[in-house]
Amino acid sequence: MGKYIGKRILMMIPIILGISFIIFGILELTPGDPARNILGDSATNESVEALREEMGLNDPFLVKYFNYVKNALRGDFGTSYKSGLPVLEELKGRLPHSLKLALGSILIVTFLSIPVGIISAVKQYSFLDTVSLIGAFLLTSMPSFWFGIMMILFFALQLKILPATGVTTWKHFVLPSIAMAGLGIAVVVRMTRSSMLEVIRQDYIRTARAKGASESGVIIKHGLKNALLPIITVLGVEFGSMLGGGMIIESVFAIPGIGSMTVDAIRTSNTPLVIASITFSAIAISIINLIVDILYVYIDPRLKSNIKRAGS
Amino acid sequence: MLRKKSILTLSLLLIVAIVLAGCGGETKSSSDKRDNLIYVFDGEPQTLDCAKTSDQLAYTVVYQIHDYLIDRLPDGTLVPGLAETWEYSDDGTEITFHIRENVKFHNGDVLTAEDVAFSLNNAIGSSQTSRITSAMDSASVVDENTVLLKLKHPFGAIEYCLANAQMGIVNKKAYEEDPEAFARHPVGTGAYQFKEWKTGDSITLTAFDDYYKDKASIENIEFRIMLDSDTAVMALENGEVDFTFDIPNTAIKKVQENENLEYYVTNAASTCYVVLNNEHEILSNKKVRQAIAHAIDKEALIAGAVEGYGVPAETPISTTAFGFPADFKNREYDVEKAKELLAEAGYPDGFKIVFTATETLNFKKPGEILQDQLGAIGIELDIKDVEFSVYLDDVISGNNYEMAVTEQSTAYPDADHIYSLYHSSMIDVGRNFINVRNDQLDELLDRGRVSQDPDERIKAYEEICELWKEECFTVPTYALQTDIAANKNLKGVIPHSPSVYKIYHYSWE
Repeated sequence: MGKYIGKRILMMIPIILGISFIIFGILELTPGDPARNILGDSATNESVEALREEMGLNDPFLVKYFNYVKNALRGDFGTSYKSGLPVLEELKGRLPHSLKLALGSILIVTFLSIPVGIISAVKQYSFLDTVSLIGAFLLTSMPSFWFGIMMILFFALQLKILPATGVTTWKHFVLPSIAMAGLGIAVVVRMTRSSMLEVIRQDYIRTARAKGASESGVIIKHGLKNALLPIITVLGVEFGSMLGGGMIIESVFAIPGIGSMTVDAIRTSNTPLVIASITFSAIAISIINLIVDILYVYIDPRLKSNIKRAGS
Repeated sequence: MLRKKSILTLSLLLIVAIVLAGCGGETKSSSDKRDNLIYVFDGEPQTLDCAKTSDQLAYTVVYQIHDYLIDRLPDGTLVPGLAETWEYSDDGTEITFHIRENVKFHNGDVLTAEDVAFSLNNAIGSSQTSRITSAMDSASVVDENTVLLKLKHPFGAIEYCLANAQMGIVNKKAYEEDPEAFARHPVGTGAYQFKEWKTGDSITLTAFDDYYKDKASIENIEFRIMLDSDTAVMALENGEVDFTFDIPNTAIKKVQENENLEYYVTNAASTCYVVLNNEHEILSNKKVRQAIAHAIDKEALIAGAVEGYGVPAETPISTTAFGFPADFKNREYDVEKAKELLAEAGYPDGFKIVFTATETLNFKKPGEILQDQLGAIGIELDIKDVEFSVYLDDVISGNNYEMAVTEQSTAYPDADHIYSLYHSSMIDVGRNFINVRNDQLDELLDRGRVSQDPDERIKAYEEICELWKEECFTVPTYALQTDIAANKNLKGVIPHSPSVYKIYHYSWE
C-alpha cells in the first residue's frame, strides 16, 4: 500500500510540470502586457519598457520557463506581479477561506444528496422521487451566481438572518456553501439514485431479504455499500473542483479565496499567480483522487489485489 | 390524530423560528454611535508606496496615511498642509516651503525638512508619477524647516500637483530601511496609521493619537475588498458595509430609494471621447473628422451607453478643471452637414473603419451606438472587441488602431491636464497616442502651462477649444459622473470629482 501511494505521489511530478508548461505557454500567447497592466493607461511607453526589463519579461519563452522551474524547485514560486508578495504567501492567506467554503459545500452535498438519492431509488416513481428529480433539474439549470444572488436577496436582505458577504464567522459561509453545493447536490443525488437502483435489483439483495434481514439493513449494509464506489468518485471530483473553482461564488459573496484570486490574476496577466493557483488545483485534485482510490479498497476489499499489483 | 399532527408541525415551526432568530443576533440598531467605518474597495491596491501608486484605491489609502505639503479639502480648495507657508521666486521656477514644526510620524519620529525633500525627490524619480511631476526638477533642504523645490519651468497647476496622492510625505528612515516592506506598511504623519493588510481581504487603519491636528473622529477604518459591485451594494443595503462608490447604473435607483442610505453624485474629473487616430490615412483628413463630429448625437449616446448618467462634453478639458470654458459650444449634431462634409472630403459613399472596443470601463456600448450613428452618414464601423489588456496594448501603447473611445481622467483640476495627451512632444514618450501634431496647439498648450497670468491662461485654453472645433482632433462626448452610496448616519461625505476621500473629515451621527 505504502509503495502504491509513493508511486502515485511521484507520478504527480510530471503532471505538475506538464500543467505548468501548458499554462506558461497559454499565458505567453495571450495578448496583453503585464507591465502595462501594472502601470495603467497613464504611464509612458518608456516606463512600461523599463518595467518589462526589470521583470524579465523580455527574455525568450523557454528561458523564462526554465528560470521559473529552477526557482520553483528551490521553493520560490515567484512573486505576484501585482502585490510584490511571494506567491506562496498569497496562496497561504487565501487557502483557509477556500478550504472552509469547499468543506462546507461538500458536507452539504454528502449529507443531503446521499439520503435523498437512496430514498429516490428505493421509492422509485414515488412523489418524493419526482420532487428530487425536479429539484435536481432546477439546481443543474440555475447558474450558481444567480442562485447566490437570490439567496442573498432572500436570506440577507429580506429575512436578515444571514450575512451577505465576508468571512469572519461560520454564518458567513452558510449561503456561499449552499450556492456552491447546488450543482453538486444535483449530480450526486442522480448518481446515488441510479447506482442504488442498479444494486437493489441484484440477486444478493433478494437473498438478504429472503434471509429475513431488516429492510433498512438491506438498503444500507447490502445496498449502499455496494453502490458507494461511483458516488465516492463523483464526490471526489466535486470536492476537487470546489477547492480551486470557486471563482464565481467567491466573487458574489466577496470571499477572498483562491478562486477570486485566480480571476484577478488572469485578468491582469499575473503569470506567477495564475500558474500557482492552477497548479494548486491540480495537486488538490491529484491528492483527492488518491484518497478516493484508497477509500475504494476499504469499501471493496477485492480491489486490494489491483493496488498490490500496481505498487509492485 | 389531527391534533397530534398540528402540535408536531407547530413545535417544528417554533424550533425553526428560534434557530433563525438566533442566527440574526448581529443586527444592530443604526443609531448606535460607531467608531469604525467599512469602506468597499472593488479591487486591491498594488502598493501603498505613494510614489509608486497608480490606482484610485491606493490613492484612497495613502490619503489617510500621509499628509501633503499642500492639503486639498473635500470641497476642492487648497490649504496649507505640512507646509505652513510657501513663496515663489520671481521667475516662478523655485518654491520655498516652510515646514510645520513638531509634527510626528506614526513611528514617533519628528518630521524634518530632510523627510520632505526625500519624499519629493522620490516621487519625482518614480516612473509612475510623470503626469504630475513632469514640471518638477528637484527638491533640496535649505535648513531644518525649509525646503526648496526647483521647477523646470513656471507651472500654473503646481500646487494641485503637490496635493496629489502620489506626493505624500513619507518617513525617510523607514522608507530607506526597506522600500519593499514600506510599500506594504507605510509610515506617514497622517490622521490614520497603518494597521494591517490582509491580502485579498482588507486593509485596516487606526486613528493616530499624536496627529498634529485634532484626532480623527472615526477610530478604525477597514477597506474591504469586494470584487463584485452588485454584491457591494447588497452588503451596503444589509448594513454590512458603510461606504461604496461607482454604483452600478442598474442599482442607483434602489440605493436612492433606500431610507438608510444616502446617494451622492457629482461630475467626474474625466471626459470620454472618440479617439480618431490622426495619422490614419482617412482620419488625417480634417473634413472627415469634422463630419464625424457632426454625426454624433451625444444625448443619445449618454442615454444608451451610460443609462443617462453623464453630461455632454463640448471640450477636451474636464468640466471640473481651472480654465474650463463653461459657455463653449462645439459642433452641433447635424447629419446633413456631416454628409456634406464627408462628400467634400472625397468620401460621398462613406468608408469602412475599424473600431477597437473593450467590455471594460463602459467602452463597448458606446461603440455599438456610434456604429449606428456613423452608419447614418455612410461610415461603417467594424467593431473589434478585445480584452482590456489588449485594448491597452493596441490603443494606448501600440498605435495599432483606427478609431476607439476612451476616457481621460485628470491628475489635477487644471486645464493643463490635456498637455500630456495632445502636445506633439508627447508622441515619442507614448502619451499622445492620438498622434496630434499641430504647431498652433503646441504653442497654446505651452503658453497655458508656463504663463503665471490666470487671464492669459484662460484665454489660451479658450483658443484651444476654438482650434478643437476647427480641427476635431478628437470628439469629446460626455463627462461621466462619480457617485457614492453611504450609510445615512455617516456625516461629512462630499462627492469629489477626482475622488479624494479623506475620512478625517467624516463622523458618525
